[in-house]
Amino acid sequence: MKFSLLKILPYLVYLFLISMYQIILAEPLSVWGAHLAIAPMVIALVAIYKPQVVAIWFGASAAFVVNTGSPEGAAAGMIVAAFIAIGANYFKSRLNLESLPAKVAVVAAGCLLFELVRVTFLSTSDVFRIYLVDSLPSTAYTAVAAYIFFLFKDRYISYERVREVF
Amino acid sequence: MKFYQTLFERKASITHLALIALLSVVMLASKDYIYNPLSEAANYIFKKPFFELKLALSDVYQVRQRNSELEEALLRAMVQINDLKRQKSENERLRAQLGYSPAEDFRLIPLEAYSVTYRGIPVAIQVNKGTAQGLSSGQPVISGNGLVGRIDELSARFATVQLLSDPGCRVAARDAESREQGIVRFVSSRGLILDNVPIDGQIKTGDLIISSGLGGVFPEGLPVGIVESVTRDENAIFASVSLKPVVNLNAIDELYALAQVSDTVGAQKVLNPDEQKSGADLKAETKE
Repeated sequence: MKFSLLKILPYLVYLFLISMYQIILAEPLSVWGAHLAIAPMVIALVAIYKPQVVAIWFGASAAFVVNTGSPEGAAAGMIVAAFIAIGANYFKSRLNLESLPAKVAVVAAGCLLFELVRVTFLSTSDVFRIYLVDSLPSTAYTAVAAYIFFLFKDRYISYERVREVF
Repeated sequence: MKFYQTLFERKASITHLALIALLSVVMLASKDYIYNPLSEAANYIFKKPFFELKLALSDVYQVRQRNSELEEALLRAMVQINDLKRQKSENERLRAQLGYSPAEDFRLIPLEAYSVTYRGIPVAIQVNKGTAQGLSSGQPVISGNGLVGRIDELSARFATVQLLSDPGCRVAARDAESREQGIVRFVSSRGLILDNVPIDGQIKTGDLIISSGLGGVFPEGLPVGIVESVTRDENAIFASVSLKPVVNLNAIDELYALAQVSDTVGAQKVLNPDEQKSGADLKAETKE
């Protein structure tokens, strides 16, 4: 396998996007306290559209970048991200992942798993309440964002279609 | 060999997962040597640029907010200045109609304190200006909040300011609301007091005490203190009024001597004959 900078460039861009969202956009884009869980969403999307090994290592890298400052969180996040990548890839090859709801469900499941680990390692008290109040709404919000993304990606909504309507 | 290769290819995901788990364990085991450098590098590459960007955006937002606040304050101040100008001209016109002499013009001479004399509390301050800069004995000294004291001893380049907390300092003062008059002085056992206030007066706690202008030492209207307590003893002639100085005499920052314009111009002319023009300029400046 030839190593090429051009091949890893898109993944570096994804990591930059995740960092930018985490630092600048997370607060303005939060809705009633629910935030977009962009890291697991991007990991799941990479796992759906890219080869498994690539998705595993991208997931681990993304989890590491998201959890800098928390060694335990980073270690657990890397393993969970790798699991998300494997799971999403597994479902892609065995289930009908052409269906839009199935893809959204995979992203949502990945987000739930990632959030569970994040809350467990980063919160000091009342983990269950935080999971209910913070993680579940965030997963729902992320699922909606993923649904909109898939609408554009799978050309359910496109410039041509919009033009046809008007 | 072929068996292992096949196994590796088939179970690629498990192999990579195991590698990541191993990496996680190694990271946790040697945080200082592996995790911390990697974490710092990731922060520097992926997060620092966005932190900087966020800070810059936040600065721009704060500067814009501050700018709009200042613009509003400036507008309010301009309206206030116009109102005060109108009141001043009205005051001058009414004074002229009633035959009063016009209020004296004062000039602020900034002073810098370089030592403080204590007698348990600060009673005097030595400042870096003297007669050469237009100071003269008895001139009032103020800070941003109100009266601090007066110029006591003088040399060409230095002066001593007698503070309100010096028991020898007396200020003719009045209540800004009820207009009742008295003498402000410092008593070691009671602090700052307003003396000679009749027992049946209207003075009350919280009133502002200002200089009355009587005696000619201090101009009228300089804030001196706030009434802290008023005690009326039935057998006494005068009420016992305690004051809290408007200026914290233990933390005096900026000091100014109030010099009459004619004094400062005179001092310039006598002490700097080569710079007589600056005295004239000063007068013109003050008139403006």
